[in-house]
Amino acid sequence: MTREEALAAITKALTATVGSVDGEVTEDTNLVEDGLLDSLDSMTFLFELENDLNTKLEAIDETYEDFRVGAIVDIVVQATS
Amino acid sequence: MTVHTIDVGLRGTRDYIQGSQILARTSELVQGESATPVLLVSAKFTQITEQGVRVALAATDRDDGNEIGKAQYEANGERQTVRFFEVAGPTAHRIDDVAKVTNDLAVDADHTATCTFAIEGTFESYLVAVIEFVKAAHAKRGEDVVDIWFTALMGAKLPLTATYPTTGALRLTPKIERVVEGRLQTLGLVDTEGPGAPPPFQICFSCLVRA
Repeated sequence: MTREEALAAITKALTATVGSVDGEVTEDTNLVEDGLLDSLDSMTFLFELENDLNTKLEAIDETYEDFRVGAIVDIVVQATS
Repeated sequence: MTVHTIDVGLRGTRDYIQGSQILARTSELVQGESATPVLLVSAKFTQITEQGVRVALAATDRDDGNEIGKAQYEANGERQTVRFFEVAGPTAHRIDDVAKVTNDLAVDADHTATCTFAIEGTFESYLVAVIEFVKAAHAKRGEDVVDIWFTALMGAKLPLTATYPTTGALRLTPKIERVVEGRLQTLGLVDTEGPGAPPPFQICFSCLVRA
């Protein structure tokens, strides 16, 4: 999966989680610090993302805290390569 | 629309209002205002309360109280978000407890769990069974796991008026776990077996894991 495809998958999971998203989601967006996701939403987001990719993102364990989109793109690209 | 105070109480020895009660009483209001069948799609609780609860049925409704959660319903493809507010004042009145409705709990090493249930078949009785089951499954993780709370359900299509199976089985499949501010948050998928069972949905719990 390319970075663009990973970003599209992340945006899709985000939309499935919170409904419509105001503004553009880029690799610089921080989903938690920018207020797009709270802690409960972050779980749904990860569930939606893994479901859509049909892949368990092993790098995102229970202590994972980095919700920068660029960091998640890295993980998705690696997990799907 | 206006803000409604719903009739909820402290059931048995509990010192909090159950989320299932809040959702059941709210759902009666929502269904009562709709000419067509309504589905509960999601619910989220950010705080517990031992006091009364008011419900704002529309986004334009305002309430001075402390917001403790929200839920989303769907009818004819249209979504409706309602918000729950704590009523400042005395604790809620006490109401009778209900008997345990789940049995045969089995939990695997990976925390996948199953149980059987026997309920009245109403929306509220089904919610009670699901929450009782998932809470018990979390408690089976060990004595260090305490303070276990139902916090959310998502991706659901739970009819408010349909009759749910009176007997059947529930299965919990863990999907996501995260530690946030010292508490373990879990997301699992709930499957229901039984005549007229609703489709699977996600459920979230929060608990404290003592060191």
